[in-house]
Amino acid sequence: MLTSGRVDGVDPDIGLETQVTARSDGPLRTGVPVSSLAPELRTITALCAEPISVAEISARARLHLGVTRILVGDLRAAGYLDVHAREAARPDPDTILRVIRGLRAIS
Amino acid sequence: MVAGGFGVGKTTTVGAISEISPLTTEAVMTSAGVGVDDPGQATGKTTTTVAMDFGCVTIDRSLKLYLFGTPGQSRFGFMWDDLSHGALGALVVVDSSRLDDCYPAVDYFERARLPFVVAVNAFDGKLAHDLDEVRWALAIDERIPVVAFDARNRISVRDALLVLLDRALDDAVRGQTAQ
Repeated sequence: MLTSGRVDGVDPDIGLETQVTARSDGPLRTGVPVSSLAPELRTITALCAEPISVAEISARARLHLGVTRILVGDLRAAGYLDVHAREAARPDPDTILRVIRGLRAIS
Repeated sequence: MVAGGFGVGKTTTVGAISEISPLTTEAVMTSAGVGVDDPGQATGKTTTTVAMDFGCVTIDRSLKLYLFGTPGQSRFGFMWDDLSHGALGALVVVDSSRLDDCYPAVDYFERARLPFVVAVNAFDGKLAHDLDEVRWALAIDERIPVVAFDARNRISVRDALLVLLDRALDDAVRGQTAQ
């Protein structure tokens, strides 16, 4: 079992929309190269070459969301991934204005 | 968040505006008879897999808007808690001939004080009830916008989202001045 049967204890920083990126120094830090990881963990790390959301990892790796969150947490703890922690508060007015401008540009 | 009952057009809404074709992620839900089972009886836990479709729109180089379509029934409320964290707001998609389906979502977002808009999907350009009737039937506060839109049409979805973002901006500005 990839998650060793864990179903809770998910890192609260890791939401669906949370952006994740692979660390270029990941394998150096732990000494275990990505190629030696379990296939699912390799897949996740490969998907994170560019910033990607946890939801996208789950969809593209065909892993359940809960499982994905646990594995991303494990890979983060082991130094393979950087997790761009979610903001605690609601989005601020400036961010909302950027989204409004971005959407208005859609035609 | 794009919330609504089964078959109401959530995935169509997400797909109309997303730059990627909607992806599906699955969450496992363990329900120990939430609100339906007789507590006097031994309730076996059942697990259900809930599919959630989502898409995204790149706003600029450092900002991406995600749209998550979530089931509208109250038993999926655990997902709303999770999703509403950090969310801009919710578009509650409604089929005007099946208003009851959206009631739990409306109720939830009201309590959670998350900005939301009721967006009535005009199937084939037709509404079974006009917007005032929808507002009345759902007992929606005057301040909550009720709009009609076409889930298949990108511009129509964009405009419904812009109404929501206006609400979100109002709330955010008011939140700042209150501090």
